[in-house]
Amino acid sequence: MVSTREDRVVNAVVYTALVLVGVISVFPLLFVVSASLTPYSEILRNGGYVVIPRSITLDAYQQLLSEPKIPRALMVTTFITVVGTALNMVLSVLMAYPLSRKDLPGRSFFLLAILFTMLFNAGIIPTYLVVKATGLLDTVWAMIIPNAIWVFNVLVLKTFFERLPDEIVDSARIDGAGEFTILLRIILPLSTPVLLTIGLFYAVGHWNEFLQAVLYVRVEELQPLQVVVRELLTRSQSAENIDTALPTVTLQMAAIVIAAIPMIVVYPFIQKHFQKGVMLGSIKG
Amino acid sequence: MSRLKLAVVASLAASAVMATSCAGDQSTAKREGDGERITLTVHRPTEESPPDNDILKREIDKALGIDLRLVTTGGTEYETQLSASLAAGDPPDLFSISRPMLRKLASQGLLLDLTEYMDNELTTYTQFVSPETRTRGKIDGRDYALASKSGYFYPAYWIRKDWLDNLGLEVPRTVDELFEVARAFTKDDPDGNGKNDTYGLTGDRGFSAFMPLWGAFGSGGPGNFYLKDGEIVNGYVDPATKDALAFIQKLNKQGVVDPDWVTNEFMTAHERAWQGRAGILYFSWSEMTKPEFVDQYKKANPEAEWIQMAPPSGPAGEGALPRDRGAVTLWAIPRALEKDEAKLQKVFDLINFVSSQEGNRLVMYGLEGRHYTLDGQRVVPTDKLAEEGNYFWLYQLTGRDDEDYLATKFAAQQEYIDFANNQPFIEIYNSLVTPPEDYNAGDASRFIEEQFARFVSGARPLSEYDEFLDTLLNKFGYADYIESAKEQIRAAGIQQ
Repeated sequence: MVSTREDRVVNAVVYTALVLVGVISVFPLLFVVSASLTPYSEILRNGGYVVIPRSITLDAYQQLLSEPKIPRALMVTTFITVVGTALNMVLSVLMAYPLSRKDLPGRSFFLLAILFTMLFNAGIIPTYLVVKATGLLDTVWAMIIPNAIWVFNVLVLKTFFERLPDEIVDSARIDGAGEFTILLRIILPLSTPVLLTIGLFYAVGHWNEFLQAVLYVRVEELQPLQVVVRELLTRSQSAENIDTALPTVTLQMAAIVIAAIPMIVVYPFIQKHFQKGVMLGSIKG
Repeated sequence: MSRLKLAVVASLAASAVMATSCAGDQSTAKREGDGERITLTVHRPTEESPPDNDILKREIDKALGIDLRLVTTGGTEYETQLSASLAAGDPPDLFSISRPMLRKLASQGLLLDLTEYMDNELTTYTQFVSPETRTRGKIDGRDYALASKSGYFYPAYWIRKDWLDNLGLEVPRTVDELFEVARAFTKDDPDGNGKNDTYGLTGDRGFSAFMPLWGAFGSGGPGNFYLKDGEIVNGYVDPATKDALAFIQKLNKQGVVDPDWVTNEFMTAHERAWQGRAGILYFSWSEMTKPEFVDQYKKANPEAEWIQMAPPSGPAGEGALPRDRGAVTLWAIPRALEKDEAKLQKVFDLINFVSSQEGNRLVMYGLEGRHYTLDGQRVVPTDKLAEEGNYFWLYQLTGRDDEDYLATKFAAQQEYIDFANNQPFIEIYNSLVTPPEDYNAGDASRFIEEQFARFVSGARPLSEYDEFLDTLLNKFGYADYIESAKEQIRAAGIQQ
């Protein structure tokens, strides 16, 4: 392709814009990481802003990880993320696949029903009553089960399954395969991109779990990571708690790093599938 | 392949059963304890929580024969969670609420009317707090909440003594002197580093930098309710507030206040001062003088020396700080507990215990021998108290006697404590007021937040203040709010 002058100019503009956006996006994270490594007095000395740390201290991390609160919250969140995502994927796939078969009796009724739940939500108190009635209150499962199926993700999966060629399914059926075999042996292996993408959506959602934890889990031991981190970040002094030291910026930033890094680390590995996956859920044609 | 199908279905079914049964077990286990001790759940709104090794809980459990669960939830989610659990019929046995919520819940019949119990089951409590404190928990003359004791007043103006010395200035006593000192701090390079990087005052977006200034002009502070010449007035309406605003605008327009105050959060202001960016700050002695904090700011600024400063006097006479003695914790009991006499009695026992001499001492100082020793009647803290006692305040449900407590725990800071608590005050009664039913507090506060800050910073000229006030009183219904507030304050017995 011949690159005209116009092309080169456009390229330059686009690249500049992208680099700028990239730097703006990375900068806050850079600040958070360096603030978490710089001793508090250094930060104060430099006007509260340190981009490249001059002296490094791991004190904040040490403090956070030696008290039982954060490691325990990390374990709770990891549990919710791993078990929760597994449950999510199983349930979502089991729901999406039948709905993707055009010959399903009552298909439009079911589709309408789940779409309805996407538009209308019961509200905090009715949902709370249901969670209480099923005995999930104050347990780890309160953060996994009530939100186990995201209709949006189910619809994405369904659309993807629909786009798979019918011939493959038909030929498997002729060979005598049952529904589960078709699902497990044929459909799923072909769907890796979308499964990884949706799985990542669920996983990140679980990792960031906050509101459900606050509403349904009133037990200290089961608080997930985001709740504990938020406590550290929003603490302020009142007349009663003059005994406690307010967390320093260093400590707060270290908490943010602990809460954010695992997800950031996982993303690149899924990246290549992610690119393909998002588009694949879109409407055909 | 039907075996595979069967296997998958079976394992799914099994995990579903396991999940719900595990859930069932856990929740019942948490509800009933070990069957002998009654479990009490107490909720309070704060970000902190008791540690795993909770010494106080053990002692309280032992003393009262209960299993006490203290649950803390931070910020705005507390009221959401509380409302949800009350609506679901699953409320905590004892919970802390704000006065507006108290009024709402009492009118909905969700709270236990404690009036009958006050002079019978709760006598230890009623003897612990003063009758005045008790009125904070009353709605229309009936007791619906148990108020905690109010404590000392902690904040004051702090000023950099070393900067004053460098510039040969005295501690300012009047508002005009304050202005001069602030100007010198800004323009005359008080830290001697050759750079023009200092300001006179700094503060946060809650107008903390200007808190001690309203009194110098005879105002009790914007939005506050206070007595003036025997009448209850509101700070926005009081013409004295406008006078104070004129002075504060001067401070801002002349550039002697760190302009970032408009967006600063609570701790940011503090950090600014510690960095050496400003020389006058309104803050609590607890932050300014506790050794761990002094260490921090000394490392950044070794020559820094902060001292306290009384509120400056002004045209209206001696300076004063607005103080709400009613800003206490209110504890309510759900009406449903009426039916569970044993549990209700345990809740009363708990309240009485932390209000009794022995129990109050436990939640203030911890265990004798470990956290403190007794020298006659005097409590002498050990190192362990500072190490392990940071969360004790969570159990000080009905408050503490600040005089003893602060003298014991913070003996080294006694002079700062006394200075702050002995400043001249203007009593404000905001905590007695709940907005009337049809008042839209959200809209009004948003309007005030936007507009009033602009008056304070000088972005909007004072000539437009009357217009602002007019809009506030009429369009946003603030006038009705004031009328209702006056009635409520009068009903509580204020106004001679």
